[in-house]
Amino acid sequence: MSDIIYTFQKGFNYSQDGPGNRLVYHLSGCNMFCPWCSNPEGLKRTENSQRYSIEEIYNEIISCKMMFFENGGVTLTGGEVSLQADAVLKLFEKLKKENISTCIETNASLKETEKLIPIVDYMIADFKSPDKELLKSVTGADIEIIKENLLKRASLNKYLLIRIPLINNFNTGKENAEAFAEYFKELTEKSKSENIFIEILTYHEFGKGKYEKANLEYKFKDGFVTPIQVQILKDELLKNNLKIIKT
Amino acid sequence: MYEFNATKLTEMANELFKEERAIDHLEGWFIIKETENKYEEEYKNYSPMKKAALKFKEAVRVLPLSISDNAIFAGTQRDAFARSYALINPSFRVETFAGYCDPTAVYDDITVTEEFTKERIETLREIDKNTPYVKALTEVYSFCENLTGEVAFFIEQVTGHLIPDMRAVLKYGVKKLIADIDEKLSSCNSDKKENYEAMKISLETVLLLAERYKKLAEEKAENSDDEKKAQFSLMAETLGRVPFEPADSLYEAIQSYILMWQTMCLEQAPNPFAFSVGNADRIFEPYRKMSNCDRETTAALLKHFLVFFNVGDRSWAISQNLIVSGRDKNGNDLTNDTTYALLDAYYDMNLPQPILSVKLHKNTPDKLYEELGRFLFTPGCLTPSLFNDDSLYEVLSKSGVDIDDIEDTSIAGCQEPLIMGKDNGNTTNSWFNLGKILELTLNDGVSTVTGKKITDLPCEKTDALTLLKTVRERFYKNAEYFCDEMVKAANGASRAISHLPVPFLSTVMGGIETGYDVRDIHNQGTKYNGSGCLIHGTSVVADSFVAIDKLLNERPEDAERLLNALRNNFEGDEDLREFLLSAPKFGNNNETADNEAVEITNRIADIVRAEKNYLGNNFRPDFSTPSTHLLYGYWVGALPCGRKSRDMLNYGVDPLYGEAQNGLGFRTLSLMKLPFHKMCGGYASHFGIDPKYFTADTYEEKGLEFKNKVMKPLFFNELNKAVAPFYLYVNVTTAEILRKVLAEPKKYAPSGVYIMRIHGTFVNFLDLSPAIQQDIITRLDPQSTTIC
Repeated sequence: MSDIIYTFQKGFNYSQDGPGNRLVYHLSGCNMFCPWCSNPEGLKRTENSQRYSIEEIYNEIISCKMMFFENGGVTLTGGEVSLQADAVLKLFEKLKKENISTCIETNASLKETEKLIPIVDYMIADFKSPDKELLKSVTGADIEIIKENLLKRASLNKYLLIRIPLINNFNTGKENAEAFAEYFKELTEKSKSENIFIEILTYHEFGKGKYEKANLEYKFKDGFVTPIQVQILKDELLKNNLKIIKT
Repeated sequence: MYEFNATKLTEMANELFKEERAIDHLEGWFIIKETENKYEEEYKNYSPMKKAALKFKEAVRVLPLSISDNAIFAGTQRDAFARSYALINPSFRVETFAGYCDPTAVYDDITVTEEFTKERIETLREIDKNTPYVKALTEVYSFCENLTGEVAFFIEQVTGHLIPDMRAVLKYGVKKLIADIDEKLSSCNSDKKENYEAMKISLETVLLLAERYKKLAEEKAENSDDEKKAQFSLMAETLGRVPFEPADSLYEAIQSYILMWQTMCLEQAPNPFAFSVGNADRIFEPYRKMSNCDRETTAALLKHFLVFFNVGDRSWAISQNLIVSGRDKNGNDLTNDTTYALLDAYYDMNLPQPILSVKLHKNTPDKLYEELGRFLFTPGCLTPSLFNDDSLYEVLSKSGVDIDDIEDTSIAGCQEPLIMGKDNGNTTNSWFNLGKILELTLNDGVSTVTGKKITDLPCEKTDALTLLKTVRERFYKNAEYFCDEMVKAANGASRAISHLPVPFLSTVMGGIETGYDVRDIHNQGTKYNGSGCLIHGTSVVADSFVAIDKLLNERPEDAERLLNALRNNFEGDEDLREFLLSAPKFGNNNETADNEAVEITNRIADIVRAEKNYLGNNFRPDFSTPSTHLLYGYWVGALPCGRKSRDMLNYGVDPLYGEAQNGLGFRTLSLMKLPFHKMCGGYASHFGIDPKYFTADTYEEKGLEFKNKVMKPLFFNELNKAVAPFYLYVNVTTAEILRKVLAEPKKYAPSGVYIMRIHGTFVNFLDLSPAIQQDIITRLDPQSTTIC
């Protein structure tokens, strides 16, 4: 069904998920199973998901135009946006005609992401670990597809914000930091992009309460990072002249 | 010579406030009334206006006066107020609140002592009961008792609630006003003669007050040494000049203003709530300039001015509004140095009164937003009410105010816009409860709260399905009926209060020009006149209509079941309630629900606006509910939107708490659709904002962030082609923070003062009655207040 978009949450957010004030839709369903996920209610499409036709969601977005101040617009996040790439593409084509700024926040681990890469104005992508095996076993994602997608985006020299969720017991430490930096450096050089930005997001448990509500077990333990752990990664990124930002 | 030392003046202002808060009994108003009564016989042959002026002068002659060692200005408005205002009274309960129906109930608010014996109090109460005013008012209330009992509407006689224009007195002195009156007297016809004489006598009364204070100050100077001697010598010398003469300095201007204000309030004792100062920064700026007074000293003097507005242990003189900034008719900004000094004074003192309001507009300098940041982001600090002056120009010019007058728009009470010195809006004259009207519409005029037959409705009884299908038509027809009844009663209350003329107030409200009293019911004493109607429950009625439509579309067979469920407050039918709650609700940018709210607002505004007051002027629709969403909600049964019986109504034009489930952005969008151009009487809206959404480091930067994230999109949105919203008050806090303050007041409010806003006024959160504290917490529900 490529003409329907399923969401589980919406609301405005200022400058964190793209520039300006943005209407953020969380799309239902995700291909990954990160144990720290802060939106467990969005992992699967359920009967509680809000069902929009493209026309409906488009009209709602248009009715919100007055709130897109400071170059704001629409951000689609998840779950995982690319699972509904066909419908999202159709929506973005319509929004383009109305000059409404678009942004996706994606894990970039699906082939379908490439459908959105050329059209979206701002792309925010997670890069959770440089370790192929670890990433696969903990989250289920294929690092090669992620790298392909990031390169495709970066090669267009369009805005690409890469977010690292920094998590103790998963991707911290000097070795990881060096691997992160090495990959980003390579991406920058290969793509010649001037629009790659990196953001470090430290581990939090804002979503923990939702697990309890949904009778799910929050299994991840001891994920909080220390300022020193953050600094190690930061230093490594800066050493490689990568642009770090904070949204 | 007394030198103004800002630090010292601030210390004294703080001490003065402490002294005021220690006063736990107020009986000056009683002495005034008792003295006036004593002279009733002696002056009985004069016209009511002249008699009032003469009696008032006698009262001021004997009123006990004093001057504190910490005072740099003489004057207090303490003697005009009783310890009456319900919402800051700890014994107040929503369940027992009966409004202010009985004007002699104030005699319960005086503490019996050896001096003020029970007998003395009761004697005066009995006399008061037989005055033409009380008799007329009692008659009005008994006439509408059935309809006000469960608050289909409410009415009251309006005292206070005006904005005097004192500028002429400051600039030319009372002597000029008296000279003007003398000139009028030499040429006026006989019916105005006594009116002018009354006004003249009342102006002599403020001079009498000045003279009495002057003597006191002289005595204090004589009995003091050095610095205190200089302080009181200056005071005495100043009182020898103002308010009779023009003010020649900021100090003189403030002194002059205080005595004028005091006299104005004493004239209406007891309890002339909600008199407002107007654009204080513009009033005092010429004198600051004249004195070449720096920001710090100006702020220090103004701190004493602010303390003056606080009466007794709980700041019983409520809803006194002071406004700053704004624009002229060409859009030029009118912020000045006194604006910033006033803000400093407010911030440093953090007092419960007077309320601070700010007029913003497209060209408001960023500096003003920067300076406002500290108010918004300091926990427990007062926050200003915010007005959109660009929008006020549109709304007021559409309602018939001359464009040249709009610069002087100020706020009386909470959020009612009036023109300083020219506008008698009788702002709180009537209160209209749409929630109750819908309840009665759905139950053939019988209350579902008490089972009482309230009235015979104009619409005939019909079966459940037809009733629901025609509910809008019936509701509006009934609304017209209730509105007519309300207006008869409200005008009755205005006629009743006209038995108490106010010649002194009239001199600063255009009376010298017209020759008539502000309260005159036959001749208009002020340039603009109208009567206010506060409209309650637009959102719950809109949500109810939408829910009824959903029921009719999806399960019309449940029409009768719905009516039964409403009668039973949904007991045993939670399923149906869930179904109704799932219907779209106003406040989520949902077209259906929002359009319904727009329609209701439009139609009710038109119904109210079409009504005429005692002078034949229109009523002014005012969509505000100053805590009455709670009080009147208590008398409204279950509604089809899913709201349960006795639960609160929506606040002002806001969605019902808990119904704006998608955050502040969507709420803002819904809000902007409303027809603000029809709200010439004002409206109320509140945003609770979580401080964590503001990430800047300094107060100044946060102030700008507030401008960009909240005010600009709401007030100055370039894409909004309609008349923009013109009022907002905010509490930048969370329910969680407030619960902590209540649990550990000593930790979170060591001074005992934690200022919060309830409707348009700010109050000490810790002074509030528990029900109002809980209301504030409830309306900070996270779903509707989140920015992200």
